[in-house]
Amino acid sequence: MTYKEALTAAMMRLAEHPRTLFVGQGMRFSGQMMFPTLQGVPMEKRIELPVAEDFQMGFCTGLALKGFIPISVYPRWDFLLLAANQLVNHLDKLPLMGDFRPKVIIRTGVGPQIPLDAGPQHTQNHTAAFRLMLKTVAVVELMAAEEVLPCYQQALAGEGSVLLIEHLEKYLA
Amino acid sequence: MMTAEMLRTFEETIAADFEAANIRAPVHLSGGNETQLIEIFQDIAPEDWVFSTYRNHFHALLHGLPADWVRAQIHAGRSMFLSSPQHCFLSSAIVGGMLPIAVGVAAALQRLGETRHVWVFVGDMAATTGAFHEAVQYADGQDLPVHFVVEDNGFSTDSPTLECWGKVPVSLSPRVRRYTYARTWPHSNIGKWVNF
Repeated sequence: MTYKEALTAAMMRLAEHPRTLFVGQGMRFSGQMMFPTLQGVPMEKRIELPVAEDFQMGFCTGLALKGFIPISVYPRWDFLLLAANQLVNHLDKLPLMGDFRPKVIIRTGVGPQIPLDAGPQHTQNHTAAFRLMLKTVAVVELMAAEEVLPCYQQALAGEGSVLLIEHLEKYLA
Repeated sequence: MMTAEMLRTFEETIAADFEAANIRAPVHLSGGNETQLIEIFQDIAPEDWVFSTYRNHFHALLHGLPADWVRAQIHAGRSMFLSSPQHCFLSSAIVGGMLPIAVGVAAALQRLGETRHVWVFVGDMAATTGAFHEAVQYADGQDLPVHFVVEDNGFSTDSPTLECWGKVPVSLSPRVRRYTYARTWPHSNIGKWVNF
């Protein structure tokens, strides 16, 4: 199974859970590299949001407060950076400030440099920095195809929020 | 429902506790808006969700959180982020931070077919931010069960909102309610030096 096939299988597995929702830009309409991996996700489980990254992270936290398990999709790390406020100050810190325990699965990717180099604003990897900033959200970098399905299954089964980082170059393998 | 006098007395007690160095964390006391809030909370059902700011004591008390519990939380250093899942009450020390979270809860209520409502309180400077406009625009566009209450005391910390922006836009959304008041306490703490 290739990296991309494993992601497609993982998304199908997540979609089988009755409380998951897939949230972001490019959920119901093409236009970003992760879109084809959602082919097994029913349309009624997809929420197409406007481009509003910090709003998206807070919105998903709100959905989670009511018992949904949002899969919050940011096609590139560069874009997730715009949601750092809600991610670091709320989703990550709410468990430290009281009894709310929202669970969000965040999906992002490091942009490819081959066959086309997408440049400095589409290829950044901020994983190391966010490992330092996040106290309760687990951070998992998916380096190989065989890690993909088990890690997403574990993210779904576990109690807390998880940030999973994909490498979009591996989609091409 | 607590009366205006009960609300004022609660904050005066907190101020005395703070001055006595019994609260080792910042407090942001409410005052001057008792009447307006009592009127607004007549529209808020006990099972509704309420999202608040770091100035949240009156919101918590009027939403039915027990005064003794609120006081204990404040003494434990949680004044700026009081929260209670049991009472569907959540607040944050980040300006405007509750806006998209409140909208997400409203979207969930709509999806689940529940009749409960969401109320989110923000200050007048927060109501000028991009986060506020995104939240209101999305809630209006998706017809979500949420109201935004702008508490306009003219200041963000001690910066006058009107002077900073030059003008203050007023939302035309039917989901936005706004009231004005003059604060009776400083932005934070009690205006006196406290030796811990």
